[in-house]
Amino acid sequence: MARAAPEQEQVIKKKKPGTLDEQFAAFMRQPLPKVTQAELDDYAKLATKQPALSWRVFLKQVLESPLPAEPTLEGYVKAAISQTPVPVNKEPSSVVAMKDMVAKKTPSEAKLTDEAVGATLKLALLLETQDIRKMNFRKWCGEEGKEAVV
Amino acid sequence: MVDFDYVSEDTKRTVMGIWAGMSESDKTHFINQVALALSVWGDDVRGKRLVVEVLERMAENGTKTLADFGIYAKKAEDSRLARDRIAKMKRASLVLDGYRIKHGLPSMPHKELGI
Repeated sequence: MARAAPEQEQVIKKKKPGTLDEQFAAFMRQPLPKVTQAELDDYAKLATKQPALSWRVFLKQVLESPLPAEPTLEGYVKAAISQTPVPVNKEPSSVVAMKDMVAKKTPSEAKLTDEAVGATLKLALLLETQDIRKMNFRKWCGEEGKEAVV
Repeated sequence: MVDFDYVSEDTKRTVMGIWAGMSESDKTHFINQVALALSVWGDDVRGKRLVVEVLERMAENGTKTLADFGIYAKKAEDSRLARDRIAKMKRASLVLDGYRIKHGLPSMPHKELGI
């Protein structure tokens, strides 16, 4: 079948209802909520006060936290959270993600990132062998502690 | 009216595919983050093109939800379109960080698990 000239293809595409182009245009033109200056200021203030806690830092906190009364993944998470100097209702997203993981049990349900799942699984494996306290944190973070292995 | 002919078919298809599979709450988070970004970047043609550029990056990187918009918006600071509005870009990143912290959204993009 002869291929239409590019100009003709454009015309055909634009006139055909429900095409990918039209769907995308409709998607891009969906109404957006109004944003007030106060909202912008509040969000900026929150981010300034509370920088995101990375998985690396959080895991370090897990490893350095006192032994939890309950030696389970959730117990370690709770212990680490208790060491985190942020209000419970404003937890860093990594902590929320890990709690989500614990609550929902499977990585796919919790929609976690590769890094988060890797870190959580390693932590879970360590807990299985009960030797988490013997782990050298350098093994997790590379020789100079620069690159996270998780 | 902004024309989207410059956006590749692949990007459009990928974005629409991700959008179709998203939960209602993820869709709301995406829309809210776009609204926040545009209110700081500027709601002009260039601001809208920046939104498209962020979507292109998300599609290329294989993200699984457009609710990751705020994470990728930070990376748009190095865009050619953002050259003369660096302060606004940084301010938008801060605002989006705050939004993501408040709503407990992850700080890393969602991607297919390789296990």
